[in-house]
Amino acid sequence: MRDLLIVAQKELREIIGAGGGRRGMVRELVFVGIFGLFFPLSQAEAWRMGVVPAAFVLLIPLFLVGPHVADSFAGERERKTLETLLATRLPDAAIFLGKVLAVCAYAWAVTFLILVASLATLNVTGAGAPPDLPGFSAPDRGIFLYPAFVWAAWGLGSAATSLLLGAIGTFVSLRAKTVRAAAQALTIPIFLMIFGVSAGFPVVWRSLPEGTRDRLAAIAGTMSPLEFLVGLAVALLLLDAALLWVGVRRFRRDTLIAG
Amino acid sequence: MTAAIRARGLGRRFGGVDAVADLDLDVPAGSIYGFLGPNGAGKTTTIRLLLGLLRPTTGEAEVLGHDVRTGAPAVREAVGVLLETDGLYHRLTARQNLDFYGRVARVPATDRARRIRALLEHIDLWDRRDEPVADFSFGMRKKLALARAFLHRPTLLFLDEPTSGLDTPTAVGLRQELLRLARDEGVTVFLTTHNLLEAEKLCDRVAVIRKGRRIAEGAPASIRARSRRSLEVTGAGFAPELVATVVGMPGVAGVRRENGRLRIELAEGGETAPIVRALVVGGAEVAEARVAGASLEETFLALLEESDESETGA
Repeated sequence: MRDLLIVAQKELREIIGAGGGRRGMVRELVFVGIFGLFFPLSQAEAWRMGVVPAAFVLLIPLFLVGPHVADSFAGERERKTLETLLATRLPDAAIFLGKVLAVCAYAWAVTFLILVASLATLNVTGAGAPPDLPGFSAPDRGIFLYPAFVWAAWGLGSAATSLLLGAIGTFVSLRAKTVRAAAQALTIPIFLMIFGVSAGFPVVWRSLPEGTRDRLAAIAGTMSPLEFLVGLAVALLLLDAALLWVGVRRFRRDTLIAG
Repeated sequence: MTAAIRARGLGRRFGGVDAVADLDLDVPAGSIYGFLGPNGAGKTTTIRLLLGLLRPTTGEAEVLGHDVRTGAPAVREAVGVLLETDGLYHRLTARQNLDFYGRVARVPATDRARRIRALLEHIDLWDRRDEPVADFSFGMRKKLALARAFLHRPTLLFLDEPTSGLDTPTAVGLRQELLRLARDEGVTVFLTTHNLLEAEKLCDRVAVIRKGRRIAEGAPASIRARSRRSLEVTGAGFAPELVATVVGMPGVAGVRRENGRLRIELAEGGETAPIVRALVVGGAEVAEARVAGASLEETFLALLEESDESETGA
């Protein structure tokens, strides 16, 4: 565990230092600006209902994780630091999981900043607040907070989607010769995760037998948004665990050096 | 003396090509061992095999008593490494780089801070400790990478071309440091180099590798002794007929003209006095005549040539 944290800390320092220190954080500031200011102001009522921010915090990590996870191994290979890292006593699992953990922690933290920024925007401006509904308050009626399922979407859901792309991305980066090749290869899973779910879900739904559809609809109907999100996140986390296990098993110093 | 590195029949095949084949090595503890060979000879592959980064196709090797197949993590924990490239994280500062590798090597925090300061001061980078490595010159990076290799006080150092690209004072300083580590602290140094003068000055033993196979091994002096002595004659009046006469004399293996000098290669047991006498009698003005042993560089080239000839002959 200690080794994993040593690797993760180094990776985080590199992520934050990417592009030369403060300039490297411009990308994150743009994300905070778009998702924490622009969207909450332009769709304020929908953001106050919670469904939109919940969906965003599931998807935003995919954009944040992608570039850094592509860099994880392919970047080290390109910058010729990989072999020196592999020539240390660090266990394979610590190197592999440390890199995944770092990009996911980074995405998780930036997503949290976005969520907090959006809350600040809604509270400071009072945008989208119905004039006569307590709770959906303007600044003079106390602090507005998102419902619990939004926090669950961030706490569990964004961690799950970060880990999903982190595991897939690290796997791709291990095999790619360059960061560019890894980033190009990663566009497919990112595209599938973002658009495949929204476009594919209706297709899969229609293809199910009518009885199954009715049973699933009945189950979904009994679930609160919080229960639904926790269930979804747990299912994703199980998938993540399986992918990470495969990734660690297939991580081979010999193959990386010889390849 | 115990062996820090011991290999028997070590080999690694990539596709149909033997990158390293049938390699035997005995590197005594506390010695500086030079691994010489042209580009693509298998030097880096050998280091990778000894570090357990590549699995051997054949043979076996032990580093500091650990089998490289089964005890590779223990090998990597005990040794310090400078590979072909500096391996430094350019986005991180000098201090962050050393701190990361110090933590990886489990150097305790207080000792780590002291050691990092001492090393950075020693290589004149303490004042630039918080600058990203990307801003450093090639030489500064090389020195920092060497500091990283020494950081956890390893008992065995693998150094791949440690002085290439360094300016002369820095390279001389590094050689002195390596000699000090080996003599005073008993550190074993396994280094590859193209600089044969460096190998001659620094190494207790050297191995010459060619196309993955060892073609010579021993103390630099004993390897040089395998080459022929030569008689270098400086002067004038070395007419072609006179040179032809010398070529035909007993004990002469060959004659070359080099920058107005005659370089006469002596066969085993060749006498020099009759040759000088023949030159003087033949009308040459001999200003200086001296017997020279072959340098390690000449021996190295001769060994490669011999290896090529034996391959062609086979």
